[in-house]
Amino acid sequence: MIGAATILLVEDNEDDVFLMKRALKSAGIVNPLCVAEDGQKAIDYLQGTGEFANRATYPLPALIFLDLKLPFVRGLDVLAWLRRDDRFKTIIVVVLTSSEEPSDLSNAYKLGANSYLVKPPTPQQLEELAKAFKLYWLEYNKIPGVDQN
Amino acid sequence: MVAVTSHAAAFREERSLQNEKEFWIRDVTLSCIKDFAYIFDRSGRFIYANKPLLDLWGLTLAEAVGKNFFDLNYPMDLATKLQRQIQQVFDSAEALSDETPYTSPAGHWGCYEYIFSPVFAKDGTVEAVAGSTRDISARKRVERNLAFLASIGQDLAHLGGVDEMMQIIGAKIGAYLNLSLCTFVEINEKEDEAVVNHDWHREDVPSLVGVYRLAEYLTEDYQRAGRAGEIFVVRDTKIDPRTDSKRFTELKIGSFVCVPLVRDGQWRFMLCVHRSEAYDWPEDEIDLIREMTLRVWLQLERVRAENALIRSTEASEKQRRLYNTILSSSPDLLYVFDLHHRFTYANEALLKTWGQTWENAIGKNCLELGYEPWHAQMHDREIDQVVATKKPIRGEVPFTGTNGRRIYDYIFAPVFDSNGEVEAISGTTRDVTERKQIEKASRENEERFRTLAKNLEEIVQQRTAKLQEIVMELEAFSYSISHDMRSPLRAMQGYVEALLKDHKASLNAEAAHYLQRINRGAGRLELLVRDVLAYSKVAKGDLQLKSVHVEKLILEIVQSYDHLAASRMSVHVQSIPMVMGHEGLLTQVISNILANALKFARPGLFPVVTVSAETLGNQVVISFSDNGIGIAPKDHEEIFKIFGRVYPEKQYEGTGIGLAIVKKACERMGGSVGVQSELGEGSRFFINLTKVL
Repeated sequence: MIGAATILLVEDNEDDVFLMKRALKSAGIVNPLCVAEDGQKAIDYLQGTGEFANRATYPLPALIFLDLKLPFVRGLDVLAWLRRDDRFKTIIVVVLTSSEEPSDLSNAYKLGANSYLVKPPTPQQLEELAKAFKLYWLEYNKIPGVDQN
Repeated sequence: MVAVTSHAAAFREERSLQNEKEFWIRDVTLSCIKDFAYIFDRSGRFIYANKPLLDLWGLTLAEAVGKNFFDLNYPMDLATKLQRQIQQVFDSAEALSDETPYTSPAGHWGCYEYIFSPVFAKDGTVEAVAGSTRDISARKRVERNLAFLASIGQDLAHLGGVDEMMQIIGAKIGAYLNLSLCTFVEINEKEDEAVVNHDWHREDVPSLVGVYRLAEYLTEDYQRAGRAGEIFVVRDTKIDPRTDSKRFTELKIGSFVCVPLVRDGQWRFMLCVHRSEAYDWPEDEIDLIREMTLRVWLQLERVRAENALIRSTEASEKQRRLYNTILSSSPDLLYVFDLHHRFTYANEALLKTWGQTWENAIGKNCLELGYEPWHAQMHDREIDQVVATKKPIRGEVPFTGTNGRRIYDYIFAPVFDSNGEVEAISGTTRDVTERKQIEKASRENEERFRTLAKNLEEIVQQRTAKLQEIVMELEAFSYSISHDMRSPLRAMQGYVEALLKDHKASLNAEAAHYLQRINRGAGRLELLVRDVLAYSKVAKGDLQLKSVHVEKLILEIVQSYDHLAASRMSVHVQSIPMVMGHEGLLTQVISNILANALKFARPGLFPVVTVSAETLGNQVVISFSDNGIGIAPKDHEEIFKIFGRVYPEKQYEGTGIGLAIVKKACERMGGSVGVQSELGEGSRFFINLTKVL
């Protein structure tokens, strides 16, 4: 359970951002969703620097949807970076990508991803995925920090 | 004669006057000595002669007294001389001495030394002459023999030819020793031969020149003596028990002396002198003969050795010329160093390379011949090394001679003397410039080939790297398709969905229909992208083949794929042996074949697929037989091509990639795929894979 904790979506494609937001909404997920459009912005967001300096507007997320193919800093590099930092080690990272490359899959888990999802081809399938996600990650799964408080 | 009588009377008178007994004692005393003792009266007649002298003459004292030398039949000149000398002593009252040869009436030759001394009367006048004579024949003979030997020695030294030498020496010996025959006998015991190559003989005596068996020439006794080096002397062949008198009489040999010569334990030679009459060989003559034997033999040996040497020198000169010709005609450089590093021989080729003449070069060392100092020193060291180690040495060196700078391969080898010491160093040198060039060329060629091979390898590596790069680009392209092509498709489908759901109310039926068509197009494109990706995934990457349980795999596929569920088609699997394969690829293969069987089912007939296997050698043939519409044989090839299709897409949906994936996957597993079918007869797809042993 992550309650009302913020979800960060790291995604450069605005179509995918739209479809994801729509799928999450139709699945009944109401947590605030913040978006970082590239890898560098994801890092800035987590560090609370630059445009993300205000923690009230941009609170630390309890869960991150991370695309792999990102401009500037690649998704796997963002993952590696945040897992090196004690503050971010417990954040749930769900890789959400169109890549089915075995190397991406294994590298993501090696670097500390909690889950790896391939973007479904159709909106219906995406909505089903969002529902399954809600049930597992937001209702059954327990997370340190958020659930201990 | 009156005088004689008167003197004798006076002597007798004197004797009578003196003591008779005293005379007798004196006579006996004088007669006991070997020398002759005698007294002359004033007229030179004998008053007294002792017994040895009387014996020589063969007279009694009474017969001799009163006679002078003429009366005693001395040779006239000798008698005259002696008479004069007696007179001289009377006149001068001084003694005189002299010597003379004399042959006795009995034929005994002798040489005598005598002293005539005055005998003084009481008044100081010379009243008689006393004489004493000594036989010095032996001494004289020795002296004479020595002189003879000396003359023989001179002859030997001057005479060159053996034949001439033997003839002259034989004649000289014969004359000197009053011989009838002188033979030079060479003995060869091994061959049982006595060879008389030379002899000298008096005209009335036969020659003995010839080759004899030892036993023929000498009796056993003589042979034994000969081997022992003992001289044998026969003084009278008629009475000597060792000789066959009859045979010797035939040969007119009355006496002889044979002197054998033994050298190095071998009886080699014998000098035999013979007289036609019996003869009492004196010691000095035997000594002489012995000495002669040695000298003649030594000379004979010397002359022969010289002749042999001359012959061998001629032969070796000939050989030298022969070798020189051979060595000179050799293109290799051949030479000899002495221990002082000087050339003692250099063949034509070397002289030519130096641009030197023999006269100028021989006796010089390398440095003196203009070699560079380092080069000369190197050879000096090498020569010393060969001498010290007694082993050959080999080297290679460049040298600039009259034919330019060439590379030479050389060997210095020790030449040993009879004691095993190095006495010279022989050298052979070969011009290896061409060989070196060839070697160098071949080395360079080899190098070039190696470089070429290396380059080729590099090119291959570069190409491979490039290909890998291309493959990676293609993979990146596939990745790009999967990401970049799929996300717009997702967007298309997503927005169509959003319009249809979220704005349903504001859409009329036509607009909704168009959106449906967009959606279906996007869906088809999505399918195509998926299959292309599947195909490229099958085609690329490393593959590890493992043993696969195909039976089990088919059942899993049937269970996990909804569209292949038992409700839609029936799959019967018979026993299939384990095959070498890849589960992922085999899943692609099986699911595609099963999906095709379902897709191309005969209308109105429930699709049934029977999977069976057959082992052919190390291959397993897995057959998928369906009851579908079948494929015309003309299309059997087409269906395995990428985007190959038999029916229009409108009739049978699909990308035309499925069987291309099957074919590729089978090939990737080292196998193959085929089809057996007639239109309307159902199809049998079979895949060949390697059996697990």
